[in-house]
Amino acid sequence: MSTVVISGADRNIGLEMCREFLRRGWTVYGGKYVGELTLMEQLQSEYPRQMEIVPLDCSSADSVCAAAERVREKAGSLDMLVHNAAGFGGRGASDIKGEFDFTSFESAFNINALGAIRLVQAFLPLMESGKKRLCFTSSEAGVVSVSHRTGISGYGMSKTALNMALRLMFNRLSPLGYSFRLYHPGWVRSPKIERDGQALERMHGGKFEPWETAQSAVPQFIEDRDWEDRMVLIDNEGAAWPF
Amino acid sequence: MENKTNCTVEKAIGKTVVIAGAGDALGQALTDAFLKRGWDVFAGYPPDGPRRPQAERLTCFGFDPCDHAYTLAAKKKVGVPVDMLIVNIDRTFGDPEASISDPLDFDSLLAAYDYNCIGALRAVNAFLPLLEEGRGKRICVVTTARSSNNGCTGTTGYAERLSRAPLNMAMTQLFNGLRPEGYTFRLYCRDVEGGNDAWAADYFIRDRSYEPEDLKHSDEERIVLRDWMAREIPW
Repeated sequence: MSTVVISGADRNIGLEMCREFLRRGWTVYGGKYVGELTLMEQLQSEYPRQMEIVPLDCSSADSVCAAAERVREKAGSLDMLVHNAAGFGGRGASDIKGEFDFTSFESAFNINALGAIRLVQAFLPLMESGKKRLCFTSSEAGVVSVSHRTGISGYGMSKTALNMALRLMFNRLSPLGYSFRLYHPGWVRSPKIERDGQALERMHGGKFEPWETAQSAVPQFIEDRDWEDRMVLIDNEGAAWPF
Repeated sequence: MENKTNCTVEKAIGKTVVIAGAGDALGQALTDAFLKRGWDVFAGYPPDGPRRPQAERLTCFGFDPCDHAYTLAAKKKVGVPVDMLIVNIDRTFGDPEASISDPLDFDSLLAAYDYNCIGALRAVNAFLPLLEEGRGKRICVVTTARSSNNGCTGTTGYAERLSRAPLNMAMTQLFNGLRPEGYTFRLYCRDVEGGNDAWAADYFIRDRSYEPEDLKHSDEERIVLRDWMAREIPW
């Protein structure tokens, strides 16, 4: 049975990715960050033999290393790593002429870009004998050549940094047999979620449901390609993006 | 068609530039180049570092990319309409030779992002009110070609690359928001090996709108990453 670790699995795309892997018979270690949410526990009750919940804060090296140790103890090895956790660093984009909360930029960078590096460094020792696949949820928001936003988006900047980190990782790890997936999930609606009886604020708009983009992502992550020597950003509809 | 390039240089008297980060070799060269061209120069130096003596048309001030309150105070000290802002900040963090297979210092990566990337935004945010009052409305940022995602063939340099690449994104977002208001931009990749940056000041000053070879793809109507040999670098 193949094994995958998914960060940011508490809800939305990450939770639905867990479901897709479980349906395909994979053993899933879902990274739990939001302690109050119980959606992962509900999913685990449907797949008690395949699903493990692991505390995982991608902004903390200690948390990531502890999660890797727990997976090592339970599974011994790992086939696939999916970094799906994302920090948004405040609400939307900021007007450069306004008062800036510059501290908000750090959290998105720390989770989205540095979190990917922490995860790879921590889990790589478990992946030497498996499928050797590293998957990342990125975004068109991080693609400089198609940038259209008029405000300063710490989220977009962090995804640009993530893409750069992946270039560096790919150049180093591809010759060692690792393959990469870089995924743009499309404009996803955030579902209605309650925490402590209070409805969390939903992001406006969106074209796709989380389960739709997860159903597109997981086959891309699992299926092998004839061209693993290239890293391409592909969206939920199969279109390739510059990055 | 009239070539406006030289006209721009000749009309320099009465123009003001702020160089946020004048302490390194490129910052000093830029200071000299703008003084030579008749600009009034406000040069920002590290608070605790050496500064050039005050001179005619040269005013020095303390500038710390990581301390926004300090930068806002520097803006008050400048206190006059500004035609051009040049952000030239560059600091090396962590082990530049470390790859994903080596230990990486995450505190250094965060510090690099705060200094090289967010520091540039702090400078733009602080000095923008003075640019609003000026006529030039040009924002120039010094970076390196290693900020290019598409040009990345290496395995190392995490701190530099991960702090520079998102600055490119931030600058395109600034361009998208401010170009309709008349602002133009320069994103210049300095020569990290040879220091051959004599072209930088000229590139910052020139109006490329009227250069025939650039008419269709003028640097004034889009944002471009260019290196010290004027080559366009892919994002």
